[in-house]
Amino acid sequence: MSALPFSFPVSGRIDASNAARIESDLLAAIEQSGPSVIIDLSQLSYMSSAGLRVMLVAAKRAKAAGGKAVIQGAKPAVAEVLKMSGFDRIIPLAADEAAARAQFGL
Amino acid sequence: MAMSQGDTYLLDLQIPHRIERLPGLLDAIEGLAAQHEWDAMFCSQILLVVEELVVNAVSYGGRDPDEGWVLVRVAHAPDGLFITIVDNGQPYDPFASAPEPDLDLDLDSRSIGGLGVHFVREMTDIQTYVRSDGKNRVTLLKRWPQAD
Repeated sequence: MSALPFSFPVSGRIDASNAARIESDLLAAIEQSGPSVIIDLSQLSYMSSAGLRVMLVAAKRAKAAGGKAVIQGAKPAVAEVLKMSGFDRIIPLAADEAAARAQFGL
Repeated sequence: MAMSQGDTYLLDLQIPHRIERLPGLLDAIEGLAAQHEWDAMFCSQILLVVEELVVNAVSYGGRDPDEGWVLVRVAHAPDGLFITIVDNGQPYDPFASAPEPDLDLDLDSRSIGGLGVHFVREMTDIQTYVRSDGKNRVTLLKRWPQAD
C-alpha cells in the first residue's frame, strides 16, 4: 500500500535564482511526508529549465523512495515548457486535484 | 537582422555575472509584458529565452562576477521583437555547442543538458550568434503570435 500523496504548492516563478531553494524544500518535504507528492503548479506563472530540473530531481527521488510525483494544474505557459521538453511523458500532468488524485487510484 | 541606431529599446538592461540579479531582469520583462499587453504565453516565452541565454552567459563566461556583464536589449521588429543579448565572457556560441537533448529517455535517464538552447530554438523564429569586439552577441527574432 502506498501512502497518500501530499500536496506541495509552488507559486510565482521557478528560475535559476530560486530553483535550488525550491528543490531543497521539495526534497525535504518528500523525505518527511512522501514518498508520493502532488506538485501543485496552479499558481506558478513561469518555469525555466532550472524549474524542470527541480521537477526531475523530485520525481526521481519520489520514485526511488517507492512513490510517485504528479504535477497538478500547470497553466498553459508552464505546460508548454513541460511538453516541449518531453517531461509530460515522464511526470504525469493532471488538470486539477481530482485528476491528480486519480493518478494514485484515489 | 540588425537594429538601427535610431531604434528605441523597450528594454536596455545590463547586469553583472551574478545569478541573483536574474529576478530583477525577469521583473522588467514582466513589466513590459503588462505595459504592452502581451499574452501570458508570449511573455513566458520571452522570459524563458532571455533567462536561458543569460544563465549560459553567466555560467560559461569565465569572468569574475563583477567584471563580467550581460546586456539584454528588446526592441520592436516589423513583425515582432528583436532580442539581443551581449556579454563580455569568453567566446561561447550557444547554438554551436549545445547537443540536441534526447526527449524520449525515461525518468531515470533524463537530464537537463541542452534543454535551454532547445527552448530558444523552438520559441524564436531566427537565431544568430556573432563574436565581435571581444563580445558574444546573440540576436533573436520572435514574431508575434498568430491570431486565431
